[in-house]
Amino acid sequence: MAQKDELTKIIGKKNVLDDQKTLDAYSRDESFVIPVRPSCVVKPTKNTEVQALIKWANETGTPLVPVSSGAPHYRGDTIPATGGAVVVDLSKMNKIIRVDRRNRVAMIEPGVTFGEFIAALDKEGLAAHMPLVPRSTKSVVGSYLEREPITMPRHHWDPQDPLLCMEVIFGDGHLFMTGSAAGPGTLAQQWENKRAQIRPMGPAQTDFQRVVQGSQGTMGIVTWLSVKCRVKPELKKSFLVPAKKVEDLLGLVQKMQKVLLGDDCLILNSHNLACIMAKDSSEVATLKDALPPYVLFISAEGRGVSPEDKVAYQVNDIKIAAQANGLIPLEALPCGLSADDVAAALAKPSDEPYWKNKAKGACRDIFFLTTIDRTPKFVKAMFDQAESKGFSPNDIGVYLQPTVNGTSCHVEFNLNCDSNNKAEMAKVKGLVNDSLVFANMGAFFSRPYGSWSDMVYRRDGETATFLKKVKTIFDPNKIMNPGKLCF
Amino acid sequence: MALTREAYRALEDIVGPENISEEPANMAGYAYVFMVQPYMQSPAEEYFMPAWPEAALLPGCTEEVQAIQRVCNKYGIKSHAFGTGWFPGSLAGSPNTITLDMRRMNRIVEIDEKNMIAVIEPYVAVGQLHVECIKKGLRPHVIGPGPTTSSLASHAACCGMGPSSINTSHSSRNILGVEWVLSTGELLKMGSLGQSGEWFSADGPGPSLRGIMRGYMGSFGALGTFTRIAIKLYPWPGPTKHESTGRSPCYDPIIPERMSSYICSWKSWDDMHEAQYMITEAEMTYSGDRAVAAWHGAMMTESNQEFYELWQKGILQKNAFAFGIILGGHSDGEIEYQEKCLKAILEKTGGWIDEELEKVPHAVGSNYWWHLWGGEIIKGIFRGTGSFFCAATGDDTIDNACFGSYLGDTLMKPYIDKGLFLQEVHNVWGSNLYEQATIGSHHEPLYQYDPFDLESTKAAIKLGFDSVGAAITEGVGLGFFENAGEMAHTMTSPHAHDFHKYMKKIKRVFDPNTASDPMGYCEPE
Repeated sequence: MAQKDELTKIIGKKNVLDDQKTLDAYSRDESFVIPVRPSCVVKPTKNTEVQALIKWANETGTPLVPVSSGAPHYRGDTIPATGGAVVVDLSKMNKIIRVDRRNRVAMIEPGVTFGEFIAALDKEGLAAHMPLVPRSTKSVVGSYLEREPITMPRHHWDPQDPLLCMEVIFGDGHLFMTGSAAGPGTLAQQWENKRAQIRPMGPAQTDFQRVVQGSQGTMGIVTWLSVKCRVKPELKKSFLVPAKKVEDLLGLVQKMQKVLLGDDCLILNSHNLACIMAKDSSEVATLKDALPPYVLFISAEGRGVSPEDKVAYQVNDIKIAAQANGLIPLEALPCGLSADDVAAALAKPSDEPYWKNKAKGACRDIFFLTTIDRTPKFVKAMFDQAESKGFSPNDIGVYLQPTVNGTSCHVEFNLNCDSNNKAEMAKVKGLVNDSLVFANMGAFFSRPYGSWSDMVYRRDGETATFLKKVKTIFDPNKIMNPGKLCF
Repeated sequence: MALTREAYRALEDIVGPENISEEPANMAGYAYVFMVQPYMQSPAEEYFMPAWPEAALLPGCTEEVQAIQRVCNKYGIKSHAFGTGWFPGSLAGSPNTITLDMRRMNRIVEIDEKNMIAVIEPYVAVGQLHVECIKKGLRPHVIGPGPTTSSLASHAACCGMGPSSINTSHSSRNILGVEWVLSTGELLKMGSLGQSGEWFSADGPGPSLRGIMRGYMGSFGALGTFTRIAIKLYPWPGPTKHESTGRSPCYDPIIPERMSSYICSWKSWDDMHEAQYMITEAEMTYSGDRAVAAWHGAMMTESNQEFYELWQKGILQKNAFAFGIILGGHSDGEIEYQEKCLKAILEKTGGWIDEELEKVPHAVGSNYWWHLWGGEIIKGIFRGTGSFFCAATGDDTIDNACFGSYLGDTLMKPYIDKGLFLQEVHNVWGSNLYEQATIGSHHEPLYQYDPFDLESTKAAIKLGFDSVGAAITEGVGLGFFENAGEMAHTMTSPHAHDFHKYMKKIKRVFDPNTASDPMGYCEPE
């Protein structure tokens, strides 16, 4: 039986696509990963279909490439690395299965976008833990599985946050639930017994979810996640702290993390802040010129029995800490940009065009982890690198995000570019692929997409060796997204 | 079965003759910890594990541990790391096993104040680390057994709940870097350590091997030995040194400025758990956990007689549903906020702070110590009968913990009625809330059995298994003891997606020659 017929039998004719336009669309993304056309795109609607697909893939030796978010994609992880692959597009699995206000948790399928998620939570008095202004098509499950950082380090206890439990169909075809969701009982029985799938650890002596998270779809396909939410604040006070240099802001950032002060806490340079806040490309340059070189955005949220007092003491303590570091938290910058407006922008997905593409139509990212105190040397290195390759420093966005209660920091450089300008794109490609310079300085590429995977696994052969062993356990026939990471 | 002389000499060459022993008198010290009798279903005179280690070695560095593992693989020996020996999981559980006593690897390698990270070796005790951290305005997570236990053991290889979990999480969640000698002798440096030599993140690149290293429970040495780890540190609002008065065993702390210690009470589990939802949502405590008044009674008294006299007064019974709280602010505003919240929550939920209980000597102080570095209960819980055991524990929502508490009461009552355990119903003791209850609420229905009484000892393990069964049939969920070891897995795994099958594969793939003792984890596939 032809492949298409077999797939049609599993998930129905309308959910199997193999027209050239569709295959073209799934063969490339915005990254520098080489385009490879899949043989088919399938859109399952339930977990049993996903399980049947994986069983079929094992029988036929067909590579499967899962994708949750809508286009455009930026990392290359959803582009097949080998011919003959079937892309499993999970966008039709888009149910918000449950929102539990009392236990501050929600359960969602992979196709749910941030916009849909935020609206559903809002009705129940909850709010999502947000990555930095995700694009409108971004899957919540995709973001959390990729370990994208959230803007509130105080609530980011572990790199896996805000992911809690998951249902995953491993590459061997076994349907599995992680953490306290594992059992006993069906989900309905668990809810009846006042369980809400909030304990991520286990079951037993393995943290299965950690093996799936960050795996770029190489271990299995996730069909739902339970995720931490926060209670929607009754009031929120936000501030912008301007500075000429990144270094000037770090004392305050570290103090806030050390005493668990505030909620949002992130640093943007003028370029990124302008891209997020400007209405369109024409406004980016004007706004950028009016902004200070770097801005720390911080907020304090009030919830619970005494929200006003919670905000009041935090605001007072933030002001004292800022003063001790020679800084002044402002409700609005001299140019008129208010902290509340920034807070509003950070609480939702990006408007169109996506903020990263607003300045020049395209953007490529370099990101890694370090510690807060080491960030200035990486910022300097990025601008030095750009200069050496002739890339305009004016087109570099900087985003510094403290993570895991401030014990580490996500560093992200957004290289704004014009995809029609071949010379410029060559420079950008050179910068992205030459990230070894940062690795040599101690940067940790914990999420190695595209060409970075070769770089990181060459540097850390032991980890690669043991990850390959793990792969044999959960995906023995190597049908899940082969060619990515070290597999 | 003694080691062959060839194998012994190979091991001796690695650590030197002064750091290896196979003398029975020394081996006895590695064959007993509390709780052994119920696991063996043996009478009290059978104090020891049936499988004594063939030898005990004291490695001094990572390279020695690696060399030992290579010898184990060559000669078909198993190893089992022994930290500070709190739990049966630290003991050799099968024949032909050697114990690695890690006491020579006892350095606090680094406390990185700016980034709130400590790097430690296996024999660094929680108390040792705590006093060094508070000098820098920080503190580590501690587990209930307290200051004398190995911080590395709980974080990397064992359990992980503690009195301050509401703000310091579960041990498994605090790991930032790991140096791991695999059963094969290979060295794995996880995360940023492997890629850049820095200790700030253990997850990645790509999938996280933390997930293999441990889960809700650790692997108890069955996948190798952890020689260094980095852990996350948390805020400490107090002074750089603890001040106290009094004498052992009940030192009274001088509670610092901007800190308070309260034992709050409610009339039922339901009211208390309602309050827990409010407490965690407001993020208004420095520390807080459910510890019934009998628990506090055991901590605040110096002897069984003193505890009995206190019990006769009825003070503990009227505060049966108690929750210990430590408030601690980095500013006047923060502590005022916390005090105001506590008052409001008590009013809304019908809770109270019992003045009579607070006047009992050491009441407030022992609650303070318990939350700061655990352990305060140890003197009390062993004093009653000599040992204790634990029934089923589900770890999910606060409501689920409440449900589990009622179930624990029900399960325990017949045993208590027969006089097999010391305490009364409702004295289902500890419970912790992880990360403001956003990742779960742990509850431990503890009971004091008499290790010198065979019937009481047998009852202890029977209730343990009864409760695992009840956790499945009643749907409380899996937690704690039902999660560790082959015997428990056999009961629970079929009700939890056959997780055991994957664990067996992990054991086979990561330890192909079974050179690490599988006791407390599982046999390979």
